[in-house]
Amino acid sequence: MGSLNHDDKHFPEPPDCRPPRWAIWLLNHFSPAGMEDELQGDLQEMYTYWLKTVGISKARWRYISAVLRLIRPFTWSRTNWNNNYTQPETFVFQPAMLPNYLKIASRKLARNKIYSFINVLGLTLGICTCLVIYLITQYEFSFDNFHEDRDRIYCVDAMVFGGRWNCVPGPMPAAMRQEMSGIQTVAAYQTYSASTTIPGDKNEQPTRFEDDGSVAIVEPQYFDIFRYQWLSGNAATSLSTPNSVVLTAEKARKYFGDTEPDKIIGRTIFYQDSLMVRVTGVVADWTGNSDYNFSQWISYATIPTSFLKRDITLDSWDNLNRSSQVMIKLAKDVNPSQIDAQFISFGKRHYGEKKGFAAQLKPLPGAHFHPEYGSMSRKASLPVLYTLIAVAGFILVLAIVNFVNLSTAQSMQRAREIGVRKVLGGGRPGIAMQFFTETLLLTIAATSLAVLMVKPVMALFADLMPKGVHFQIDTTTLLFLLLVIAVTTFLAGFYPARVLGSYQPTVTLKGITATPGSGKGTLRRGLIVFQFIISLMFIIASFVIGSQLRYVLHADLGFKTDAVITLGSSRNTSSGSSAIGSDKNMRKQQAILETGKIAVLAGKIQQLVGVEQVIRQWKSPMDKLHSGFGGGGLKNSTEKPIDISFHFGNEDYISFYGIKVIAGRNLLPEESGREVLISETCARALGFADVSKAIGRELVASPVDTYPIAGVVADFYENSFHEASWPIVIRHDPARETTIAVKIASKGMAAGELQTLIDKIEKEWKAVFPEKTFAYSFLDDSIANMYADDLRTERLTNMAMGITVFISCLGLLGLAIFSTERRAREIGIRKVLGATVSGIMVMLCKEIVLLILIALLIASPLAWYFMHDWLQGFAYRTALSVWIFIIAGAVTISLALLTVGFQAMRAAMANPVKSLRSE
Amino acid sequence: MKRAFLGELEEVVLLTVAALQESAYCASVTQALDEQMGRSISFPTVHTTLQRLEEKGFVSSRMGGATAERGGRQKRLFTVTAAGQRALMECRSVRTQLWDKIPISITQLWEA
Repeated sequence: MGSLNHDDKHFPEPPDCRPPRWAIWLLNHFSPAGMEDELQGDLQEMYTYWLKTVGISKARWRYISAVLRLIRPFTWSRTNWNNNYTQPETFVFQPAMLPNYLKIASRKLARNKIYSFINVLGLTLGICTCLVIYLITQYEFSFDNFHEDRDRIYCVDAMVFGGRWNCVPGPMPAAMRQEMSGIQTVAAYQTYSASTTIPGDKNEQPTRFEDDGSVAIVEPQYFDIFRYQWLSGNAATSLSTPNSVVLTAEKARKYFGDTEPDKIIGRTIFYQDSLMVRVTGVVADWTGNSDYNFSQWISYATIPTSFLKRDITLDSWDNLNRSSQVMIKLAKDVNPSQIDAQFISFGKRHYGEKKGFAAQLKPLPGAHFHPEYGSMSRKASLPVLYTLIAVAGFILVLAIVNFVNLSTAQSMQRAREIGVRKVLGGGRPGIAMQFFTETLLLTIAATSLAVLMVKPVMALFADLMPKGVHFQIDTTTLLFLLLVIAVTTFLAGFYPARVLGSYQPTVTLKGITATPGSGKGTLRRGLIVFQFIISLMFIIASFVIGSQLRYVLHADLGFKTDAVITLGSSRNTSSGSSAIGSDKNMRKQQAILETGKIAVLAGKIQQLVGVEQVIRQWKSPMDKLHSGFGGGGLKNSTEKPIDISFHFGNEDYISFYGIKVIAGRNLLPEESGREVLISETCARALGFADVSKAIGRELVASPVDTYPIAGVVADFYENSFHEASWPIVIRHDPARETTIAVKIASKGMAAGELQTLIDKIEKEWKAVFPEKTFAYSFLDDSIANMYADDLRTERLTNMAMGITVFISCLGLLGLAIFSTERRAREIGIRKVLGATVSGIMVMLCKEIVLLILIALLIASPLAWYFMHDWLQGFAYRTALSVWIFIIAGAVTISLALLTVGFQAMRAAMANPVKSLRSE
Repeated sequence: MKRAFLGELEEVVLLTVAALQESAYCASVTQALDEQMGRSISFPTVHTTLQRLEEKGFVSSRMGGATAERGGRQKRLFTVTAAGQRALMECRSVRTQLWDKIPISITQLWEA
């Protein structure tokens, strides 16, 4: 339509007074045949009118909506207006044909049961995976996005002593409040892990609840930042006095039964059996997901007035409580970078130049993905989520590829039908539409199946999914499903619809169904290669992960782990009073008190039948715990200091774990010796090529003390394989040896006997530590536990591998069935002319082998790149050997041959008479 | 003879076409409805209504009358056919009959 440009010249208008260009274009190209001109004119007139009456934005909007309603396919000409502008219709598809398309589609699907089954199965798997991963993603992204003023709430990401501890120095919140500007609210809080005891009424036993990580000690300002609906009490006063506690409604119900919130006020709760507090408020639970899911808040004022002040130091900058936290809310229109700038001088003021203090504000939304700041609850990993999304996408694409492959392969059979349709007046768009209808039917069937499957699937893999992911059909899920249906239908239907629409009736009706050398085979082969590239990548990944984990779990650790039980420790690892810094005197006194008890307990356990050996230690040789010193070296040495890591135990430590002495001698049996053992690596790091030369030298292992080296032990791994082991120093210090390791005479012990033994140990434990819960773990298990994340990755990869390989093989099977059917006559003739069964099978299979080899060539470097990256996360790792790739290729080829082989065999064995007679 | 049914919207549009006489085309009808009835009926609705009326044989159309304000494009001018006139008359008589059945005392009451 050149007339438009022409007219613009005649009636120049300011550009924004014209209706949108794209709308004009749409109207020009898609208005019902013969009506472009009048509609264009009418609408232009209307537009001028609207400009005058309702203003430009409404006018534009009305113009656009009018155009959208007037163009095809939303309207079509009902009357045959005869005028000079009529032209033959070329594009219109006939809505009247829709029922017919549906009918034909369902018949077609019912007739080709195998293809429909393969397609629906593949798509169902793909869509189900997508749905599950969508639910996980939606859940993880829903954290802390419901708070009022959430864009002004920030966490503090602090580095102290050069490290990130996910905590802040105790006095920091108060100092921030005084010294910094631009912050509306500062709220300090402490995480606190304690058991809860509810005293019963007269004559009733008190009820006890174990620690569930839901206790926090908070300043009243906490409730200015995080808003709750107060059922009783209020944010301003409830936590202003010592020894008060606020509960959520659900917690209150758990503790006091179904009592009115107002009646709970004033009730007593004991924490850790000794901290008595009164309930001063009840708040409604949040409905949204949050990392700050505390449900009992003790007032901050309680700390200085109770024994809590022993564990929580609020005035020392050098003693870092792992439990101290702070949340802040910025004043309006303050940029977080303004606060970050103030932190620099803040750090100098309190730490001087050296101590490695730095802090930054980090927004609350998104803190769910950062374990290094924000709360200490379970965090999600963004890379893992993105990988999951990618995996879901790949699996769906594989299923779609199957669909495209099978449909184009089948399309030849439908050539005649399409020919007839075209002769009777069906246009290309009509035929495309018909095909889209078929795809849509299949996709809808697959989606419904996937929706039905999703709950059982989620139950099956519950341990791989974060708790709190539920499937329910709400608007967003529904939208997601609709989107999946739309995208799948479009992607899967687009190419076949085009191919089918392009058939020439003159050719197809003559009976020529295959055009030799056409490009369609290439596309099909390309898609198969693509499928197997993805499958192979997953296979290789899962091989590599498997072999690395086997290496990690079965490597010689340098010490024995069999039949060793570690008993629940008195230290608090989770929320920790574990302190970093130098001022530990207070704790020391407490520890000495415990040491005696531990020794008593160890002695008692030693006497039990079935116990081979008992030692006291600080931690097992391989443990998440770590105590290091960065200034290690020889006395009076000028060399650069080295990092050393401490293990505590007496002379039995190394024999208990079977650690070998390679030079010098073991520690002497003393109450508290000054001698130390060092590891081989440590000796070398200290500069001894001949490790025996280290014996007798003085080792600097603390800012004040030196220790003579008594012996050198063989290296053992002290960290999970993700991190390299440090040079190790073993020293005897009874005050630090607060856990008990028990070696069981496991030979000939049945599971029942083991349980009785553990019960006996528990009894002894209860006698010595009545207030502490008994917990134990096998060393093997706790070491395996260090790789829980990796084991999860392995399971996920294996699953993804299973699904991708399965879908790819399904597609291959479909194609094999189809091609052997089509080549039945060819095979018959070949057999008649003397071909052998094996010859025919080779002919049918060699192409697939070739395609997989191509896929292997492409997949190998990609997989190598990704897996190399993954292995970098380990300090000790297996090599990526060529064999992994070769075996992956071999496995894939054999799987493919298994899939295709049966079909090929059947075709090759068939009696040629049958296939040839049908002519 | 089965009488073609005239919907309310159709009736209004048909009346407007009759009122505009020679200059009844889609845009002018829409604008007249907007201005005189204070009733914003969208352009596409009027367009399809006119199509439907023509289908039913109540209006007929011819091309003509390009003007500058519409970019020199032709417009489709509508005129009421004899059938359309009959339908309108009938509509009015039906209404008048109904009106007449209401006692005058009541209508007077409404007006007051």
